[in-house]
Amino acid sequence: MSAFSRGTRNVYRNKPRGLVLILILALSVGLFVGLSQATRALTTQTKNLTRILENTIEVRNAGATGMGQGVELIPEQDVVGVKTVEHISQIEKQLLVRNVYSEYFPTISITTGNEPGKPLRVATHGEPAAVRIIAGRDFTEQDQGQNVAIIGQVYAENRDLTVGATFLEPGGEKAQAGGQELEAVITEIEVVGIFTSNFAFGDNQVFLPLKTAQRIYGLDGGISVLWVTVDEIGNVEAVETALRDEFGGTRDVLTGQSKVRFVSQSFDRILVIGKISLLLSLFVGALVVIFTMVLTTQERIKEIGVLKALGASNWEVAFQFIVETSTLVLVGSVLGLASYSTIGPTLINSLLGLDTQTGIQPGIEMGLAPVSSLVSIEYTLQPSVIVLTLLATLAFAVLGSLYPIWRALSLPPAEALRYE
Amino acid sequence: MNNDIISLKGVTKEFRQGATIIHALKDITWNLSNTGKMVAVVGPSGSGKTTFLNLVGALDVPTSGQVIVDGTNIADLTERELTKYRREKVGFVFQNYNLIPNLSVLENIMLPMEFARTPKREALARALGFLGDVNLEHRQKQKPPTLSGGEQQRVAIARSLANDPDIILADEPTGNLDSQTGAEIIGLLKGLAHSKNKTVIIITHDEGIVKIADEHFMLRNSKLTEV
Ligand SMILES: Nc1ncnc2c1ncn2[C@@H]1O[C@H](COP(=O)(O)OP(=O)(O)OP(=O)(O)O)[C@@H](O)[C@H]1O
Ligand SMILES: [Mg+2]
Repeated sequence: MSAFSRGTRNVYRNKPRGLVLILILALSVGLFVGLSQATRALTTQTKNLTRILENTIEVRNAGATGMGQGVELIPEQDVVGVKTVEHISQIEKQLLVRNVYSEYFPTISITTGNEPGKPLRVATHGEPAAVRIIAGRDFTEQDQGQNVAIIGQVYAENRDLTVGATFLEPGGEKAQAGGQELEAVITEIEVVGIFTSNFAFGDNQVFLPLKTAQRIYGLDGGISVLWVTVDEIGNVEAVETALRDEFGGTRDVLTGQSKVRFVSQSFDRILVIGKISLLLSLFVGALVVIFTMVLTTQERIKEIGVLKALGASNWEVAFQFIVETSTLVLVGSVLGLASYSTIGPTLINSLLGLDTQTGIQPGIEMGLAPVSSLVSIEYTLQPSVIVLTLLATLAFAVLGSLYPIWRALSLPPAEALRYE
Repeated sequence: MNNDIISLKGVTKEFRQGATIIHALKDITWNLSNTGKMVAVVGPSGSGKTTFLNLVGALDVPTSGQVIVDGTNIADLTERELTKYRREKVGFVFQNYNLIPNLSVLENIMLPMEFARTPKREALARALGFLGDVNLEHRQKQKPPTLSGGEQQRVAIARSLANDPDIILADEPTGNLDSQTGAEIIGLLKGLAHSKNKTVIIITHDEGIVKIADEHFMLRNSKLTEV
């Protein structure tokens, strides 16, 4: 029976109390870790998003919503004028067609005519980083005008398609672009790649080479969106002005900055709340640990007197108590970390209104994607977070124990023995 | 030098209770020279008996005066030496036993030996021996709260013997026991005093015990006198 094993055994000496303390500790540790993970994920995501959005300018027909409904398409020749503007590093032309398939879910599928070699931007938000090819390949220059497609995971699963398989485009009951019902030439298309964008609506989409899409839907020379990438963030304003001059009000020129402002305002608000809760949970956690210590020592001052009467040195008594609280705190922290790992992501996702499996906003119909759909949060705890959390709670336990133990030990044993 | 085991010279102990000062002991001078005796100390409540015992056991220090045990003035000891003194020179038996409730009977008896760094094997063997002295071998695995009061006090006595101290200090050891069990405990302590040559100081209110003891003292009005 060493001071160490006495310390650990004392944890379950008073079972209900030990249990309650461990649970409270676990709760505050879990809360703290969850909040810090969420806050961190949001911070990096905001940065990513800002970087992506900031130097991208989106040109649509004036009044067009995300899908360009209700207005006419932009003639492809517009690009010629855009090309004369300085500081543009890339121009991407996209044609967006809205297909309705009532027998599948999601019922709406977007077919995007994309320039081969350019990023795959999934509607309804144009973040190319979110799209990942999981089977087959991306388009190459040679694919322009060919009957090939890269399809989303959900689209593929719904129709039982794999790379190399063929399908008919359009296959639904209705196809629209720029507000018009389209007369399409039903064409057999080969699947060359399958992608995921981590949200169901995005994954129900089809990419065709731009020329192929224009041909099938009888929209030669028409596009829905021009994505303009500016070489440096500092030039965004100049390019924006130049583009507005170029189009003279017939096109909406949406800079990243206006989007960023909207996005980061929402994020900032969440972040502030996150940080406040983080501090609160840290404070509560520290309080619980210190309170635990004070309680444990206070109610055992008499026992400290007994141990000293039996010939224990101050160090032996202190060590036993430090082991006791450390064990308590470690068990609580491990439990907190474990419960965070099991239920934390689901909890955070449901709080943020995200899909509980992927952490992504599920099936957005049309138009503006909610801010949260842009976020895919990394919930897995890194080893460094685990180690830091354990070390921090341990440090709190030891620091919190020192004062009450020191006070109890500085009493003459006779005095300690009088406590009941 | 004389060969007193314990001697108190002009010992005063005061307690501060807010603004008032309580004189628990006032200028006590007393000495004990015979070893292997059971010594009973009686006195009215609040006369300072517990305080006296705590000073002899180095659980507290006098406000003034000297407590000299085996030639050493307790007030001169460092914290380390005080720890060693409590561990090896004296053994305590308390009115409410003060056993550690979540340690087994055997572990309780071995505890002072652990503090003395006695090798575990040896500690175990000795603890079993002391358990035999108090006739409780069959209870060694039990936790104290499952024992009767008399049995707990016998465990406490076995524990007080752990590091073979010269002096055993017992503050009303029978206070929580019925008179027959109390008599057994006293018999046990007296037997140990004689057979193991220990100086046993018992504080008590019990007239019966006083009669059994080898020497009798009365603490009253800050005088510790033989009766
Ligand atoms: N820590 C303390 N603080 C204040 N007063 C104290 C303290 N310890 C003892 N006293 C006081 O000192 C006096 C002697 O106390 P002590 O406990 O030695 O008496 P006692 O003879 O053992 O009494 P009893 O027979 O009731 O146990 C009492 O008046 C008591 O209130
Ligand atoms: Mg008393």
